Amino acid sequence: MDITVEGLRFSYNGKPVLQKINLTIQEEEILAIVGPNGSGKTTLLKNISGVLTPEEGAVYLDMKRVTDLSTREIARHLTAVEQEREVGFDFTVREIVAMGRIPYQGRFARETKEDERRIIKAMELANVTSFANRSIRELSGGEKQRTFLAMALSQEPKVLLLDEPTIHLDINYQIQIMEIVRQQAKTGLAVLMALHDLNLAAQYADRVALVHRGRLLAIGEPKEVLTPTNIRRAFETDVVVGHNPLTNSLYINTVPYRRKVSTPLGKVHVICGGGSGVAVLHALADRFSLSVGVISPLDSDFQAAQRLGAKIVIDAPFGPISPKAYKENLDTMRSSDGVVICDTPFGPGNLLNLRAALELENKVNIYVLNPEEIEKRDYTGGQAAQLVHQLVRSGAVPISSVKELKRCLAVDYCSTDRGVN
Amino acid sequence: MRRSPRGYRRRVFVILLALAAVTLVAGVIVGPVYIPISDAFSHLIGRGISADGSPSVSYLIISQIRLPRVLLGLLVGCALAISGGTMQGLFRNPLASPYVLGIASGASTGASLIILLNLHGVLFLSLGAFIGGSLAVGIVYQLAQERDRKTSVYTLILAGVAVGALFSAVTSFMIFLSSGTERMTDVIFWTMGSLGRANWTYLCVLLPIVTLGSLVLIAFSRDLNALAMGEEGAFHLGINPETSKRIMLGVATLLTSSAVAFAGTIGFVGLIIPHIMRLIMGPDHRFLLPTTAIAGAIFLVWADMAARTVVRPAELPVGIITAFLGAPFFLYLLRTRKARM
Repeated sequence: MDITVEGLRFSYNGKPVLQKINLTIQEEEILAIVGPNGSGKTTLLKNISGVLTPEEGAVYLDMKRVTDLSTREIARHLTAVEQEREVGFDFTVREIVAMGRIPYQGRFARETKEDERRIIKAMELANVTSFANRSIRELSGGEKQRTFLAMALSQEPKVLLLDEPTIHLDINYQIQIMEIVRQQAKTGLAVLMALHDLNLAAQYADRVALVHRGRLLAIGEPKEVLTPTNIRRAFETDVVVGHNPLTNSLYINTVPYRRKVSTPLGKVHVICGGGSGVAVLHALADRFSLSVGVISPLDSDFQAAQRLGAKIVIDAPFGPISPKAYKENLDTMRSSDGVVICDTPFGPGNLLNLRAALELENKVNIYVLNPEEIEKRDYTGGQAAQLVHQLVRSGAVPISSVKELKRCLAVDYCSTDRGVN
Repeated sequence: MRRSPRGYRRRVFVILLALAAVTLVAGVIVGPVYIPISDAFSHLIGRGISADGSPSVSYLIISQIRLPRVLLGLLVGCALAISGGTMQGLFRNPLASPYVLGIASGASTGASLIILLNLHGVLFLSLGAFIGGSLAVGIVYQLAQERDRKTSVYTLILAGVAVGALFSAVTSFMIFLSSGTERMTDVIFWTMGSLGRANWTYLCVLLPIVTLGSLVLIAFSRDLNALAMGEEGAFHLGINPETSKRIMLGVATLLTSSAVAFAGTIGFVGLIIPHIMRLIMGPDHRFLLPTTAIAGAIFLVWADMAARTVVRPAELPVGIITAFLGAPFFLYLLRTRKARM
């Protein structure tokens, strides 16, 4: 059973809340509605479930307008769990799940065998059987939410609407809820849920609808909708969107706003790779103008450098550094005030970066992180270790932590500043 | 306390019905004039006419005084308790009751006005009470709803207390106006509550109202369960919350007003009995409402027996007894179950 929303418009007390909403939800599909607080997610769900009546446009359940159906007819096809539901009296879990059968029962009807079968099955699906006889008021947030989910499932809906089903839940409960929902979607349920967690949406939704100020900003697959540009428009926040190899879904991280220093203390070149430069780059970014090299675009340090706006000397991956990149890197280093050598593993591919540092002949300050551990990350049969020891002997400063590095650089360059003034 | 389902519930039902039967008999036997149990039984099944064709004194006492009084007690107790249980369910709050919401005050003002206007007849009396009760609950409901579309329970109860006080003042004013007349005693009757004026005409009016009203409320007990999930929760279960609430509130008001019309304002039955029964039966209104109705009936008859006997040969208004029993119990509940309210 499909839901179609056509040209929906709704306002509260004359203030428009939703405008020009068009969307469809199909069987076996999870559609997540995301958007900032107050963007209209809950109002949209209430318009679809029939709790509110659209001012313009309509919501169709298959071919029928939801507002033309009786409350009871709606409840046999579509149900919803609203945000933070409170139960009035201390019903047991079993009693609450059994209420899901109300749309099928007459006023004086007793529970039939069929009812009982559905109730037991729903309790199993939502994993609440073990506490079926406990009072709803004694349960944790996650157990409550699963109980309401079980109640909704015992109703045998074709369409399930969930408003923030994971709000205030610990991560393990969030995943439990989402897994149950996904399992149900696989068996034919159409699911529409409002989520504030973009990562859960990216991980579990087949499609995502991004709502902003009552309008649909974008709708489609997570990777089409959850782009940094869209998210910045809706949430006014910078994010990085990456691909999580563990779950094969997107991940979205916020990036805090960085204040750019108008006059950097100096230029620092960082030799890194394989993630060893991330901490150093982040530590130095707000006070120095950075450059990085030579590095391949596949390297995780590349992303950090790019994000922080560092100048990057790039070369192709999987081979030794080309003479052209080597030259460019050396020039960059020569024009720097300092060079930092991170505790990077060295192999034939990046060994030349150490050679380049040695070629500076101490005309530029060189800082080496944990030189005494070089043997552990030397994959060149001793050549890298030899180069590092040589650097230290000829005056490079050994540094034991990122914190110390920061302090050292600050002292070195602040005093130069003072000397100039 | 967790209840085990069907068997347990059935047992409670059977015990309550047995208690109701015992209560009926006890209520007929107990009284200032001693009537042997065997005589009382034979009178109850219609025997007691003397050889000369005139009824015996004891037969008259049973058939014209005690039996109507016990039956009125059963009906009034049932009406008050089931409407109390319904309102607690409707407003998802164990503090709600026909009295807290001002219905009883409104109904007694209406009934008092009918007496003052000297409009005789039980139908006028119940109509006046119903109009007064509906007016009170209408005002309270509107007030609570305008403040906040969700009908906040606290606003509702505060509004109920205020409207109840206003109607009580109107009743007191009417008592003041009628001071010295015979009607004054009649009006004072409403402010105290008593089953002493029971007669068969009253019963003929009250019986269909209480029976039908209770059946309607029991038919809507499923809706009350759904409403425990909140109005939206009820909607998603296929219940139209506004319609259900209006019907139940209307019927509960009718039941309370009728009870007030014939017995005056008897407090605490509608508050305490549903509460106790919820502890015994659990919150499922399909079982809670019927048992509450029976328990309320039993309770009021026993309270009336106490009212008739403690200061014999004089008689206390039964409202005093229910308040003496109910208020401390309510305070006890408030203390032990504070976290729940």
